[in-house]
Amino acid sequence: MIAGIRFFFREWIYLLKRPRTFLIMVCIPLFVTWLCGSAYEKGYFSDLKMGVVDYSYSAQTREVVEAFRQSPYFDIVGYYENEEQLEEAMKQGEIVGCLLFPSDFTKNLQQGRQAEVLLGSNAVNMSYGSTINARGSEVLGTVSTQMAVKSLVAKGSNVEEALAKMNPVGFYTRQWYNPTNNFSYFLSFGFIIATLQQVLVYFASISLIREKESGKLKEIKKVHPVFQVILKAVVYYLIAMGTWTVCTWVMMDQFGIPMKADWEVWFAYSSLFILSVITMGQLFSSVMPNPVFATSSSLVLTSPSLVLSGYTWPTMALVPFYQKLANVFPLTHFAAGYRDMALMGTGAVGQEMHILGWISGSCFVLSCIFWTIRVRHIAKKEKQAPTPLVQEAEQAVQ
Amino acid sequence: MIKTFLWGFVREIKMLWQDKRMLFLFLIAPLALSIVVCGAFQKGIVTHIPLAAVEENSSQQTRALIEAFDQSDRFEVPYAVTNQEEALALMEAGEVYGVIVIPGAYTRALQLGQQAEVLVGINSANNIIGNSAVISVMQVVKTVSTQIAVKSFVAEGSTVAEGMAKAAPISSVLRPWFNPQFSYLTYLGLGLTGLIFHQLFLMTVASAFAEEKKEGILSGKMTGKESAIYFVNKILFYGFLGYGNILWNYYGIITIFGFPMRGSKEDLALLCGYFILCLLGMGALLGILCKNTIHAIQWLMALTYPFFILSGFSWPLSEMPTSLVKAAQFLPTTHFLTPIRDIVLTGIGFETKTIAHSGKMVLYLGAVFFSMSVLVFALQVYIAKRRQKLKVSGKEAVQL
Repeated sequence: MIAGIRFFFREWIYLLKRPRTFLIMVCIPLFVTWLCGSAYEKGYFSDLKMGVVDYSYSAQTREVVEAFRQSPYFDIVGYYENEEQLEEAMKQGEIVGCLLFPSDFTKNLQQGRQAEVLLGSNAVNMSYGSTINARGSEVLGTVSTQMAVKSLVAKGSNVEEALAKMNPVGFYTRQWYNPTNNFSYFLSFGFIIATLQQVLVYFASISLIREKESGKLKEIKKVHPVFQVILKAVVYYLIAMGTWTVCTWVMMDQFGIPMKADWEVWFAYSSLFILSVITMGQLFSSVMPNPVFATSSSLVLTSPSLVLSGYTWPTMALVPFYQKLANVFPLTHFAAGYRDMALMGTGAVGQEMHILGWISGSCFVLSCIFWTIRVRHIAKKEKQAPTPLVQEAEQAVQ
Repeated sequence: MIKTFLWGFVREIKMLWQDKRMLFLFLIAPLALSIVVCGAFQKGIVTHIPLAAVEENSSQQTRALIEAFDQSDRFEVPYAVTNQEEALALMEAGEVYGVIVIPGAYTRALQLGQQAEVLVGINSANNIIGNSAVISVMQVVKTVSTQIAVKSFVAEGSTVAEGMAKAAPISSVLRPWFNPQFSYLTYLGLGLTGLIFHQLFLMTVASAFAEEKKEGILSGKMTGKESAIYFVNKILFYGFLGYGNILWNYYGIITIFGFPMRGSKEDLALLCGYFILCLLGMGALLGILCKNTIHAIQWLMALTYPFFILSGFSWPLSEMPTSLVKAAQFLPTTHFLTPIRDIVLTGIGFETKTIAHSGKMVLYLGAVFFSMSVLVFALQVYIAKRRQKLKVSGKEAVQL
């Protein structure tokens, strides 16, 4: 018992003596939280620079352009002579989207035919592309309906009748759980959680193997290898949970990112995630030959986890092989689930918690088994062939 | 001297060959990881987004609307429920991504010639999926609405074309320039490949220099001249191999995933060359400054996401606060990830201001990192030699 308590504090002292370790474990996730909060503070696109090519310059085309100018999402930078100039401006980064009116636009409208307008966007960056398409289509739809209604009103209908005739199915879209379409809600959780995972898996994967590497296994031999695994996991859990709590507070309090779930669920879900990352790191630590191998391999293996986690690209759109592969990573069962929980209040986290529990449990059992075997193997080896240093020490004692 | 210089290359090859971990991280992992990451996006767009339909009063018209969603590539409607709460529960359970609410008065309004309203709610916790789903929703509902309006105009004696023009005088055509399929793979693939290479190459170079502290050029056991020659060897060795590797990575990714190469290959090769120079300086500096390989890996691992966020690759720099934009200018990723995507996808090159500026910035940064690494290297060699001298004289004193 006393040996266990000593071991527990020994780990704390080890970490406290190395300020760089604490800097990385605590300050880096906080720094990323601050960075996400600041970088995505604006949250949505506004004044997207648009160019216009108008081959049919008329009052009607100006009306459409004016509607875009009035929208907070767009900023009409200017008119261009042709499509080539427009493309060039897009390549030079002067504009990110465009409106192109063909030469028969006004004629078609005047003759009662449907007129076409092209809404272009630089879709190389899909954040721009999706916003221009969504907001631009809304503006164009509104202008189109206005024009249609005006023509019927001119023929004697009232506005309501005209609206019903022209647009019998009216609709409004509601962007649930992120009504302002705020990108910071979408992106921040993912990056912060992924950073926490990187940092934690790194330190966990070095935690056991460093005892072997530094030749200090004898110092801790009074503590059973299973308890070594448990006590180290507790230390890292406490640090990570503390850091994650502060990160959550900064997100909520400083950057206004919501957390709608109950705190009990938040605590249980976060704890399971942190434990699964720690035990996974410890598994690497108990198997790999040295700390450099343990850290590099755990980092290489976890690096594609954000992409595969379904956070930005939904799991349902992954091919089956990737869906299976993604299930191995704790991040898959936390990042998107946490975002849903934070924004929706509940989300389907029950099943995810169950899986995280399984990952933690199996990694923990495996690390205990491998670490025990390893510690015993090393002890046996040392017994059979005492090192010159041990021999010297023994001689000195004699 | 020439012999030492040539021996230096053999020494590097031997060191790399003996360290299988580094060999894997340097030569195999970048392309392998890039393929894994890009492979995740190979479908390009999200299709068959599940929706729940709330039919408060089922009729032929409501079923026609639901059918229109179900037949669209983008959506499928696996659930039809009778109240909004049930649909919301399905959304919260992650079963559906959106809800179509068709109110009870929908059919009656249509029959009476009044405008009928529909609410379409999309889970926008993921903005990009949410936005593109909203566009598709607008297209589906607009099509259904226009069909109904046109039918009524045709019934009054108009032709279909006249009816179309009356119901929707302006139709819009969406054109996503340079990424016509609006594909996620096109958007993210090239940048993520660059980021993976950035991290692994820095890790390799930093490890290679940090390892020299044990017995190599930074241990103080070699002469100053030898250390300087081996330093040059190291830079040349990793520079050439790294350059070949990054070109091989981009060639592999572009070929395997069918990215359109609209720009000039020379511009791509040139920017990659500048990037390698910059990373060599940065990696060498990191490796020399860090106590050992583990410390170097620690810092690189911790800074992966800050590098990516600040690069402006996913969220453009124009939308970030000025202080962060200024800080981002000192990172090589800022001047590489977006420009490389622009060269490949939009076809621009060094003739444009943006790419020329990026090229210049990467070179400036490379020059700064390089000068600093040379200075720190010289200083470390000097300190290591002094320490070594003290050690040797201490040992001699003990023997005497």
